[in-house]
Amino acid sequence: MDALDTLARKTVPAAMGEARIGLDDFITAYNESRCELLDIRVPEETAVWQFSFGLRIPANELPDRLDELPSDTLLVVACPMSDRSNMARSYLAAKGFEAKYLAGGLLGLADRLKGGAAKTLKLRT
Amino acid sequence: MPPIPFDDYLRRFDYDERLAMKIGLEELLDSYAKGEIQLIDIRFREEHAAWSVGMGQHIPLNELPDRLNELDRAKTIVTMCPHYDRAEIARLFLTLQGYRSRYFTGGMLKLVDYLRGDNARDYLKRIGPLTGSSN
Repeated sequence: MDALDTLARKTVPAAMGEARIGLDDFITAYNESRCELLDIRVPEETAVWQFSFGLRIPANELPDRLDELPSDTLLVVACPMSDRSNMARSYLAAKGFEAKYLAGGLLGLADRLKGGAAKTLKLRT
Repeated sequence: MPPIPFDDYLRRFDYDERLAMKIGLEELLDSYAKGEIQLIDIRFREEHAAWSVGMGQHIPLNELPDRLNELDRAKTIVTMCPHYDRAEIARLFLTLQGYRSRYFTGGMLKLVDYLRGDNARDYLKRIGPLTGSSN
């Protein structure tokens, strides 16, 4: 069974936890250095607003830039909502990476990190 | 403009001022592109450290009284925060200090929601390259 077949067979409600991660779980995993954020938006989008952490590789450049991705940690793939990140996550999973898409998206994360809640994120440099 | 005593400001507060103190998304993007406004992100340092917009300048609300010299009196100062509550506090403070100031009613969350996909591309085409929000 190839990687895409495996992806398709796992597309059932009980297995979606392997495909996505919620905002709070992401923040916890990030603080514990168990994952890395991967922003797959196009360069124009990352120019107008950006997170100060994580990796930035546009989704359409992923096929040529897989060597830039860490293979020893969970990749949390993110876009403004979750449509492009879901596709990119499927691609990375098919390529053998441990990857989940950020449910709630970068817009949700920006909302989650407002006011005092921004302190819950332990930024690493 | 000279500072305005709070009492005087309230006495003269009317329907026109109620509208003039606000700026919406469309006018904000237009005025910023034309260089008519100075855009200030007044969120706390931790918030700005997590994420920021590539436009404007970051001056935390609680540092604003000590950093007025960074404001351009020739421009309208537009304040923004995630929604608009803190932006309005900043706007009121600046107005009382004698600045021309408005607060962004959409908030930064509305701004970043708008600036995705093709909208980001089209707006960048209009305003040119951005280097990220400064401190």
